[in-house]
Amino acid sequence: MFPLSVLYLMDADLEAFAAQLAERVELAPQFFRNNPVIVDLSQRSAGSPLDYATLYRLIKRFSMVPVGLRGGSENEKAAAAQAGFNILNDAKPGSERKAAEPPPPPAPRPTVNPTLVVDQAVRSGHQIYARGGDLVVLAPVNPGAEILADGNIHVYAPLRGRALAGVSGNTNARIFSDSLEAELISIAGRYQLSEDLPSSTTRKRVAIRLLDDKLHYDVLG
Amino acid sequence: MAKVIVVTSGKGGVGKTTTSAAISTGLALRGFKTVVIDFDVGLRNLDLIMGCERRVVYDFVNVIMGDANLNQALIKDKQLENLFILPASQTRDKDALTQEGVEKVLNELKASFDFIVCDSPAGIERGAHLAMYFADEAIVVTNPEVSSVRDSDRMLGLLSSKSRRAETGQSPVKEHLLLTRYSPERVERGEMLSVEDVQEILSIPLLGVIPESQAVLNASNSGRPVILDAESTAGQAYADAVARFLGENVDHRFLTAEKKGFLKRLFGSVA
Repeated sequence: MFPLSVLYLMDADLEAFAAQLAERVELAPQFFRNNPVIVDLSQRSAGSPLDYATLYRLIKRFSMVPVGLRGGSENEKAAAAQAGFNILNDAKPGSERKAAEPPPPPAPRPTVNPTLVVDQAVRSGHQIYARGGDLVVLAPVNPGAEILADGNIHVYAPLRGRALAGVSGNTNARIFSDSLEAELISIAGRYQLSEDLPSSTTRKRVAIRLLDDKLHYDVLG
Repeated sequence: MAKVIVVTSGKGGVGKTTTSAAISTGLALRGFKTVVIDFDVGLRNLDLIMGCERRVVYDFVNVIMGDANLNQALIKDKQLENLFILPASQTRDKDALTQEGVEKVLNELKASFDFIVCDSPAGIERGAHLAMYFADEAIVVTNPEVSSVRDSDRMLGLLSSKSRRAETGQSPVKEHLLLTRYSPERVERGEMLSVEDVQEILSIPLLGVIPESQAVLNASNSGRPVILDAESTAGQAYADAVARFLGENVDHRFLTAEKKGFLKRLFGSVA
């Protein structure tokens, strides 16, 4: 495919057309050099007849290649053909863009895993699993409750139950909590019980991740 | 519109039946026509606490099975005009309760009562499930110790997921926390969870705190609900809880240890 420009002629004033064209070409002379163009008469207001021979020369003068002409009445087409234009089938509105550019490949669907958001307290005996994504809990997770996610776990409240992130093996998963009071913390199978959690993190805002295959706790300010 | 209230806890021995008796008696004292149902089929207790064990002829299961009609099974309280008891069967087990049967009895009761108090058995199995399934409001009875708090937490989870209101997407069951057997002295000594500790976990509105009191045991033994003992702290605390249940704004009492000795002599009963 090569670029094909379309010149829409609005009226029969070729001098004005030449001036406009000169302005354009000056902006990007390289772009227009040997650029094949199509003249389109479909939007031309009816009026005095066009001088097709002059138009043809005009386009050549700007180093463009007049490929053909479309639109206009049968008479106009006949006159244009005499001046050297190839007569093209009339384009359907809007189709010239498609002709000029290959259709863009379908945008790759962004792979966003669904996030499970829970806004009620997760109570003893409840288990919540965010399959394939993250889990966000906006209420306390109580002792005896268990929350699991294939992705990250965020608890914007005290975390007092068991929290297991990256349960299907994602070692990049993390756990965040506003107040760490958990019974068990696990990321990708590496776990610690409450008694093994560093005491400096008790009831603190923390971010937990795996570092060198060990659970690492950062107390957030 | 009649309201169905479940008195539940998960854990046994925390005071569900004492509370059911006290709350239903309290509501009747306030002039509401009230019935209290014993869901603890197989372990009949409520009739003892209510002092009507000698008058049980038919029971809840008989009504569900169609062996008797409601009027035959309902026992009218001796003292209070508008208080009725529907006792549990002692010879059957909880499998005799069916969801359809319970619903039918409750619907029938709704036609003539203001409040239907369901005394739940301990545990989370069939009896407890059916006691809470049709509830509009729940009084969760909790002792200030960790296992009771955890069981109550479990029960609250079930109320918000397994009740009919939850299953049919209606407004959730209204939950009330009733802390029983509370001993401010032991809390001060760090031997017992405080009201704040319990509320931090359960995070539901506090209906009342019933202090540990010898009057509760006396009341059970004599078959006279403790709320009728207006002299006792427990009786007063239950009366406060009933007032709060009815929407009145009553300050919580009996939350701090009574100062003994020198200060008490100086200031009398001001504290």
